[in-house]
Amino acid sequence: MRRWGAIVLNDLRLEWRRPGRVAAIAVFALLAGVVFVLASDPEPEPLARLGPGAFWVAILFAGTLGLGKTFAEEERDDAMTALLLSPVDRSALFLAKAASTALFLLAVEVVMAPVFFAMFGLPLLRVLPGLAALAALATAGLALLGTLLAFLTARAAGRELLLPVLLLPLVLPLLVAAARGTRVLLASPVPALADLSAWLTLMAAFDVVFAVLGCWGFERAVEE
Amino acid sequence: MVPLVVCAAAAFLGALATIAFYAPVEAVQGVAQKIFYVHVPLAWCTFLAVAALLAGSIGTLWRRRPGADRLARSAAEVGSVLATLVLLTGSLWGKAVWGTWWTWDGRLTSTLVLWFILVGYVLYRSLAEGPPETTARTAAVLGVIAAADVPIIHLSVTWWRTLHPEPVVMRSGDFGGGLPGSMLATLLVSLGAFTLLAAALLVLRVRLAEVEDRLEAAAVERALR
Repeated sequence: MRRWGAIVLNDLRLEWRRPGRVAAIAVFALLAGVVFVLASDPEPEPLARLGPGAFWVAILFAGTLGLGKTFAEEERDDAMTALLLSPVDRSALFLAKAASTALFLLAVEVVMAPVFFAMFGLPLLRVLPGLAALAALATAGLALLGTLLAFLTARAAGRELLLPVLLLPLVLPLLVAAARGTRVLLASPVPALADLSAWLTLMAAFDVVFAVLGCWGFERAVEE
Repeated sequence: MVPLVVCAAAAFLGALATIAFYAPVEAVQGVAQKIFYVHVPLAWCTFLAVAALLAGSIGTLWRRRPGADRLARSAAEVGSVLATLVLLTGSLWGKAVWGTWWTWDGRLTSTLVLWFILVGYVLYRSLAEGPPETTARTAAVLGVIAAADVPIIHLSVTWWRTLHPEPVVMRSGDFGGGLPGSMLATLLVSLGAFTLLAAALLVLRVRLAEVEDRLEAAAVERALR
């Protein structure tokens, strides 16, 4: 557990020393929002319909850009070999990488969400608790599956392209659940809690499946 | 191998003849309904291909047999071709009966996502670099997670359509129940023929993979000498 924490801390320290990365990805996500608005009607009604989906699409695209770095950094100076040789359980290594990716993405979301919601004219504060629950589960799932796929594609030609091509269809359940869940939250003064909990359950199931399969798959994929 | 291919070819011609001459013309949809006898067996064979991909991937990770890996990568290629045909035949049928090439119905959407997953796997195989054993193992992990994701995707897409009711412009035809005997018989003949055809394609592709692997090994040996 202490070693697990050390890997997460190390990754976060690297990001902390280079805050430009979180900023650049948040800027990219906001730009994606602007593109969505400009491609649509700047009227309140269409924007409110588009907003929840656009928000999660922007995070998904931004996350895909950030994920490629997860193992590319470690390939430099052959740090990955050092990590694999260290006395850390392979599953713990995988979960540590997924955790630092999830924390990185959550930081991006916290930075961009207020501006994004303002752009689409959506009330952020009213939906904040529900949105936080959706974000936690969606980000965890994206980080788990994304980390595994980033490792699998780390040695492929054109990995920058291959990672999104593999990741996007496989994370669609999270995108659907997060976008629909956000829409439920925004729908009425009293959100349909049954629908919301159905989407949250779906994402939780997704997270559990890919936490287990991720550990299992990572262990088998790294064997040399 | 030759008997299987000959059987598959004969069965396929027989199924086409059955569809053309034996199956009745449906009263409402007309001749276009006959696409059903091609479309449904293709979809069935696509799922068989996904099952073969899963089996090959598990076999690669468990037993480390190169044959299992050849099965997995052949199944993914055959499956992506079959899935393409499922989408095309479905689209043709949709145009004739629903009046539109495409609609975001739950089943259509999850078939489209499955197509992207299979094509993604094939792309991964062609772009992966490194020793073949490593690629076989990482691809096997990809095959397992892709197969595990398919039911979750299907569930989420179904909920996407039903948990949020929107005006349904077109409803999918009510197949399954109440199918007349001659139609059911045609469907069964066609199912058998297409399963044979898909099996023949898969066997041929696995043979090709064996040749590819032998060539690869010979090239490595020559380079070392």
